[in-house]
Amino acid sequence: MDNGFDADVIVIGSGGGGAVAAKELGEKGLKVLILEAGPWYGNRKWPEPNTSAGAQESSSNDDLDIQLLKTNFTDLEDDMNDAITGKFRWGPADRSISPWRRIIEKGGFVWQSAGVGGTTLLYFANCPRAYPAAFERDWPISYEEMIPYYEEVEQTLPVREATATSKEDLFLYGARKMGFTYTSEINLTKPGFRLQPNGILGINPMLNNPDFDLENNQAVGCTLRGHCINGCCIGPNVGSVAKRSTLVSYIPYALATGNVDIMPNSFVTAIHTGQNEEEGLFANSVTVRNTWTGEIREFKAKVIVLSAGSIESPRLWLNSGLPENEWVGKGLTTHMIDCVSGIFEEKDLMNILGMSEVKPYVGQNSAARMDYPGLGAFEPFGTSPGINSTMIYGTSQKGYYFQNQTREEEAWDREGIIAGELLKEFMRNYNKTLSIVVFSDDDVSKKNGVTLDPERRDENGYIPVISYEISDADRERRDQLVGLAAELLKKAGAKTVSRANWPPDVCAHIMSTMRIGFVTDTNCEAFQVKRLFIADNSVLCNGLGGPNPTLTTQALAVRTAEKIVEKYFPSAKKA
Amino acid sequence: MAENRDGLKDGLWDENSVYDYVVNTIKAYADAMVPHSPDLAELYGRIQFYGAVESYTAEYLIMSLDSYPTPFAVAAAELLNMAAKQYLMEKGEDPDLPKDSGGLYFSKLSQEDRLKIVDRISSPGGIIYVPAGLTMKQEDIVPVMSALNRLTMMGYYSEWSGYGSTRFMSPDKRMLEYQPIGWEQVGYPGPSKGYRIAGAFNFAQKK
Repeated sequence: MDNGFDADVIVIGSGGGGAVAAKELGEKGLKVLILEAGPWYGNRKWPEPNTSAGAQESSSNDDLDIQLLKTNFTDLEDDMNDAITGKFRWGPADRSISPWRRIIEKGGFVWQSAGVGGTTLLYFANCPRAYPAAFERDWPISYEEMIPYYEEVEQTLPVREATATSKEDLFLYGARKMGFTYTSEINLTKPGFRLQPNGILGINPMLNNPDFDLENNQAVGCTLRGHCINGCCIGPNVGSVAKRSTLVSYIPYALATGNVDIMPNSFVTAIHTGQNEEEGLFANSVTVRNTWTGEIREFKAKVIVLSAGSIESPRLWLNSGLPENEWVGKGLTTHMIDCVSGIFEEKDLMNILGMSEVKPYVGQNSAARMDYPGLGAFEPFGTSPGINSTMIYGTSQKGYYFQNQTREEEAWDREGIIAGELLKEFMRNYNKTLSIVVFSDDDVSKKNGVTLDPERRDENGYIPVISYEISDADRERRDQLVGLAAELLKKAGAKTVSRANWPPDVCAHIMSTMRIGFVTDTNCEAFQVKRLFIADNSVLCNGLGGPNPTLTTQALAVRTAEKIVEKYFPSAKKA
Repeated sequence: MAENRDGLKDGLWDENSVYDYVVNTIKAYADAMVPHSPDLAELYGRIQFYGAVESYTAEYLIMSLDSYPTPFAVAAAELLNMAAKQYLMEKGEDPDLPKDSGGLYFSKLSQEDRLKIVDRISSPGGIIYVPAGLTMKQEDIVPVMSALNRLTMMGYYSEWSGYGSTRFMSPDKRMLEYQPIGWEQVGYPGPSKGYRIAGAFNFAQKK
């Protein structure tokens, strides 16, 4: 680049938000440099992404290699998803090194992945829109203004109506029994069930053909094999893999513009600013640490987009010594996620489904949902047994099941961690189990959020401390929604229902720690640091009412890219 | 750590004793989580008998705990034993073990009591004191202890035990040698390239 700039725009992070911003900016002809802390799977320049440093950067779709991706993504849940040594962990590419540290004060955990694609590598790809009421509550942007951006992402990703398998069939049977009705709305104002809008390509049309060779499948389309969470690699090339993590969607689209360069294994440890009379304080460069070599470099750009996620974005702000703002890191929402599960008897399953088992490992990990504006949302899910057991039986703020007495009015039979012989008995019924994950609408509170540990640091700066406390109103909504999910299981015929009762500081939907209107203006540009934009879940004004947040962040990133061009690159080509 | 140096010469660490101490403690926990179950075996077949012992789940836990930024296996074992000792005292039982016992209070407890101990030190209010000599703070301990339950289930029901003789190799060198017991017990057939089942589901219809 001219004038000593390394790029027009630097994007920090290549997850749900950053990859979208990069593609949109690249399409306008801007030179974009993405700095990603984790590895890049399925790229020939990193033939052994977890054991050797590989190249510095890649900027071409010619480097992407579906065979390599299939080698990297083994479909084995410990190899892929282990929180400490898995390929989808928050840590450096080299798995012989420990993960990066976070401090979660009350027993929760953070479910996030480093790597090109970020946490979309492991997400279920559920892509609902926010509830309009949630926008009316806290957003300075109207819901109507968001609709064209939603449509843009829904067409590009693309988002498709999911294909149900047994677990959804059973869930929807229960939802009907409860008296709920199907909704064809996408902008939800009242309760209803529907098939998920998923960022997953339609089903491979040859799937039911017994002569079709699944082993050597080179066709486009989902094969219902249930590995969304373990890393999907089904497709003829990287850009047409069925589950649309940004690794296989917005990243290839970004590379196709010819204007986007991506450096994985590059942890940004500081954002630097300049100052002039016209703009005041403005962002102009970043410090980057290579996670393999420890080499430190500095890159300059005209605009910086912060897309490091709701924990690292505020952490980076604070570690960079950017101006004090009482809302940086504050206002964390998590959807206070919880799980309930029910075990069914064979004869009941035969009657309802015409088959004796639910088989939770079959089909898209979640293909149906129940939306309940005012309370949140819940959805059936099923995964391989390790992850599935940790979610429904292994995570609780209420101790072990034998320490809890269930009250008459509660729809579940047991609450807490299932252990011992009962765990084995329940897991023996894994194939007759329907699991539901519940996302409740939690209010923004300034008490909740991310701060820095005052003493302890790692190679990337002071360590983030995550603190979350549930309010009485939040708890009430959560209990009510979990109760509905448990009742659905009972109505569907479950013989025994368990509630996990997760600690509310489990961070899987991590949102609103750098909110529009408090840290940024409505263009998502930081009030106090010009030329610094935010494009990740942290900029969301609240928890959207309960729906999974990625689609909204992606829609907003499209809008933010537009605003960046309008303000700082007005002569960039029209799309 | 002074507590457990009983019986060790000159107060020096004996690596083997420490190793046994940690293994025995973590094994006692893993066994409480996924025990042998003769009753299930009688009802549903021999495979249901096996538990954490046959799947090396304690080894998985120790390896995982020592892969945290601050290795945690020795500290976890120490915490479990100190909390167990205190629990015995509260119950009015004689908490003093003979000198040659290696300080293994935790494994003396019933399976249910062991889990109660884990629960106690998984909540911020539950850790009454942090053993002197541990460099960690209370807020470092809580998330690790409450992760134990998830780690146990992941270790037991994922493919990890099937890595067999390669299970301690670095993750990129491991090879799946056989079907884990956990998969057989739950009826998980392992990864798949696809299922030919699209489109036969009644209740997913829109009306």
